[in-house]
Amino acid sequence: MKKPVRIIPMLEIKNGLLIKGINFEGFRVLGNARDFAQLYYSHGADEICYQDSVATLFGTSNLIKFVSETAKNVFVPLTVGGGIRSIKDASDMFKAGADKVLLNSAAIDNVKLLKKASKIFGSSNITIIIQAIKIDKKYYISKSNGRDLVNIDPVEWAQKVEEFGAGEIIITAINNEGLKKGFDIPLTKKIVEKVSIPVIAHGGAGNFGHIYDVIKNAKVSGVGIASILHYEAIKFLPKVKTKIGNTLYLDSVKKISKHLNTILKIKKFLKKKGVIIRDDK
Amino acid sequence: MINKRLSAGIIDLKFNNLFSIYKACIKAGFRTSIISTKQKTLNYDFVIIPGVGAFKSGMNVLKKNKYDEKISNYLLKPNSFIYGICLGMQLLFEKSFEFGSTKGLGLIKGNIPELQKKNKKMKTNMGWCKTKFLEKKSKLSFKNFNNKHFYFVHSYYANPANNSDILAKTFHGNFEFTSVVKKNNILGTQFHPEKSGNLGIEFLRNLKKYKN
Repeated sequence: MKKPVRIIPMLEIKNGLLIKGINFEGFRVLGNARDFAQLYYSHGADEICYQDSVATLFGTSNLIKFVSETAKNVFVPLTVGGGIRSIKDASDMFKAGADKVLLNSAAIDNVKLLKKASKIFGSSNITIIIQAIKIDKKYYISKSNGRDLVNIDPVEWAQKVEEFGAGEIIITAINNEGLKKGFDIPLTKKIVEKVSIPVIAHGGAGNFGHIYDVIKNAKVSGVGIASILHYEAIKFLPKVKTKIGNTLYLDSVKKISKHLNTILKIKKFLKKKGVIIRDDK
Repeated sequence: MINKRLSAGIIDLKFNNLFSIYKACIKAGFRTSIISTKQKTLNYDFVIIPGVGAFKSGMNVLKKNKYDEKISNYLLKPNSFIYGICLGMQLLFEKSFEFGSTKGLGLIKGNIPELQKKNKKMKTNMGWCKTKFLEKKSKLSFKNFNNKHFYFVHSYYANPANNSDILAKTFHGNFEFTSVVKKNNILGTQFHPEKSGNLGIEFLRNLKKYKN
């Protein structure tokens, strides 16, 4: 029996703020991350994913605070990544309310940490995020969100992390991220075929058709979605006051009073096309 | 005593995500507390064994803090009720094969094999699955949850020795496993109600109905 495909809002956060980068270069502040998380939960998100892109550089202490604030009112799985470099970091994150932790650079630097973490916390609570970058037809993986390349093939890396105990893989196609032109289906498909753990596609969703395409063609277990959701939600969520980051975009948003449930719309769209989704009342 | 709020005590297995189940129990209306390891006796309407983590580490924590004894004593009391979630449910069984073989609490007969043993491609069951309650037993309290999606995340599953302890089953691919067990005043679910959205909160809210 097939499981419903999970629709997973991906929230890139910095200091508790939801940000949206484009190709991971430069970012816009969109609002308070927990407002968005709460909204997506109430709209029927199957899971929520927080990624702190700067925690890798500055540590996780800030992130923990925002995770526990979010977990108070969100009763679907919360996956959290960014700056987790040790068993203690992971443990702190679980205690704060994360259900799964995301590892990237720490696992690239020391794959044994992955093995240890999966033994202590259980494989299924450890997710590996693979940031794949394509340059001149060759694929690389990246640590620290595309700032540096590692000469490892993403498909080989996927197989290796499965062997070392990862319970799930999120594959982010950096080239497609934030561009709204669709997912990297060939790469995602290859990974799905090579591993037996769930694979989540992320990076590139620009319209509902893109989401359907990657589900149909790559047979993924879930889809990570950012722009499509955030740019709708921002129209009716409260405006954030902050001095950090670029808020020019926020000032240009025309507010509306009506709540639009984009997640429900996506699920209805997929259901019509024959995709199994979760829509219990 | 209609208006008396029921109390739920949550056992701290150290590595698990206590916060979610704690918040979910509050949301479901319980007077909720985390059980201190110093407590010699358990005095709650419900004792919850939550679960994220590995069987062996979970069992070590239980033994180290004498929870095996405390739970046995608690179960002798009238109106006691134990609810194990995910790993917490697995710990209720006799033995697990996670990283070797480890003895469990032995409150329900059976063991905890690896999903992988059934099908290598199906190592982890993660995601939302329909839970089918066996009609005869779910006559009243579980009716609203029949064939609804709950959130699962596990690589091992419960294999009860007695069919009479099985309350619901769920498919992982083509493999059907036991997702809810109940034996007298002991309930266990492989799924996480605290992660199953509003439906999960509703399930917790209904716990009192499962006491019989």
